[in-house]
Amino acid sequence: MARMKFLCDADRCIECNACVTACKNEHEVPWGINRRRVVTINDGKPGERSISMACMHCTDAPCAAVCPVNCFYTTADAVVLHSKDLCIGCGYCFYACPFGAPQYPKVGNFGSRGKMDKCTFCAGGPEADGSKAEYEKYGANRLAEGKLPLCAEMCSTKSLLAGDGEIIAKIYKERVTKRGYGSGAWGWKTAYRESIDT
Amino acid sequence: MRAFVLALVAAAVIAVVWAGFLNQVQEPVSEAFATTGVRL
Amino acid sequence: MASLIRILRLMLGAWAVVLLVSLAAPVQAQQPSSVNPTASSVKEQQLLQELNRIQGRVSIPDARSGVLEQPAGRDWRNFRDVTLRWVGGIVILGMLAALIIFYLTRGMVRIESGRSGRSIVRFNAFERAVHWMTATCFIILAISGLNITFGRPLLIPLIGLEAFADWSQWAKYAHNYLSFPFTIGVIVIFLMWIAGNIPNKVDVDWVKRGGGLLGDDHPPAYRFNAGQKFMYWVVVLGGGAVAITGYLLMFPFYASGIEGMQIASVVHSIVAVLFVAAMLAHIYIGTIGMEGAFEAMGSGTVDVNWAKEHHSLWLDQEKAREATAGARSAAAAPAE
Repeated sequence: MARMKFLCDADRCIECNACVTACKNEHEVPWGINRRRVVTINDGKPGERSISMACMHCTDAPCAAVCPVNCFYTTADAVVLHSKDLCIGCGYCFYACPFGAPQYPKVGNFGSRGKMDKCTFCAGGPEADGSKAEYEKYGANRLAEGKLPLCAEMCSTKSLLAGDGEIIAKIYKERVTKRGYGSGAWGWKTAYRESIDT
Repeated sequence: MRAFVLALVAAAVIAVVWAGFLNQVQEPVSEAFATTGVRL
Repeated sequence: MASLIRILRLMLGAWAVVLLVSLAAPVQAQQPSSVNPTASSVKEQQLLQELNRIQGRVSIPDARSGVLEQPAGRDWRNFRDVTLRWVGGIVILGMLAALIIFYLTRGMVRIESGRSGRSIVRFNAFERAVHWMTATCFIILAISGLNITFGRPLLIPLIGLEAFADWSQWAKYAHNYLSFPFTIGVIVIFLMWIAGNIPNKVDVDWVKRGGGLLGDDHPPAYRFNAGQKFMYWVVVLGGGAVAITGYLLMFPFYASGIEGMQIASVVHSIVAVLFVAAMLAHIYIGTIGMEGAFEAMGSGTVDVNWAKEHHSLWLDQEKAREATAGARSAAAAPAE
């Protein structure tokens, strides 16, 4: 069984934001909600790196651990999803997530921040695969059609890789060996408790 | 007993007023983070 | 002929030297097996240790998305899932156990000389209304708050995910809306009773003599004894702390970043569970713990013998005030 992971090759990312645009378009993500974002570290200085970040679909996901209503679940592919019907919009998952993946449709927290929204690895939600209800709440379900997440498919430099963890680790390892250097697989230590050694 | 009932009513009234105020402050992220280029 | 051979030998020698030199030089680029690529660059782990979070520039208007990684979330998760549950469980269940044991051994504190049948006013209608507004809000806030921490392990196995999510949604609304009447109540209580709750020597004496709880003594006290003053300050300071941190949580990121929110959550929950434990003791002594106590806040009047045994100095003050008021009204001119 595949164990799905993301890997953003920080040495290839050119901050084109194609991944962000692809995600927004595919799932009709409303304005103000950012499932995927590109962060540029040391902008303008030597050692500038850009990294595309969304939900990492962690092993032992902290969001799932702290949710007061237990609205998260992990699929057989190790994709971390949640139910917007159960979500009470308390915001705890955002406090726990190391990567800032959870997004909320409202600013204040008084009645509710609204239902939490996040990257689904293009795997939809608890509703029936490919149904209208699923699309309206969670966006497209590409995994059910046998496709990989659109952000990685659209990446102009193939810096963002998505798919079975072993395969993308192998690809990344090849690159690092060929180049002679590599800044590491971003977030892998935190999300999956492993690193890619070359 | 009267004091207790009055207290409950006071709590309810204050809570409703507070909720009304919060409704004004609360705004969707699309408005909160809108830039001049966005048409909502 | 000999010179040609010599030249040839020289050339061969020169080539041999060149060959030897080129062979001895280190191999570059093609096979960097002697260089460890990952070790030679800045690793994520290193950055996480140097900074408390990693952030950069984003083109998104929401500045929070510039934080790439915040490891503090891991510590907060541990606090919320493990530490808080232990602290809350021990403090609240421990207090319940202590109260049960105390009741079973000491029993209800009785009015020794029995009821006299005469009563005096202890709390007026306004004071009682404010107290009950604050108390009722506190009960609902406590239940809805404890639901966030303990609801998932305790209630989901009983009522299932959907029912629990619905209940929690309404509990959260109640918690957020009733926070304001609770805050107002705490502020009014603070202003209303500050005069009678400044600690003094009588309180030191009261505590030394067991406060009527330990042993059968009846140490004198003014309107509020040392135990009540302690409760007052718990409510004012504890209530203030949960209110301030609560509003920080209710208006997220208005005043702080993610670390501030996590700290506010920690302070709010720890103060809250201690507050609940303290209020359990307060509720105990005001209801089954002491004969004649509840009516002070229920009807507003207390039996004179109860006042004599537990708040003798206050009773003297009230009697003196009544006497002077009576004397003044007798000597005063007819009603204006």
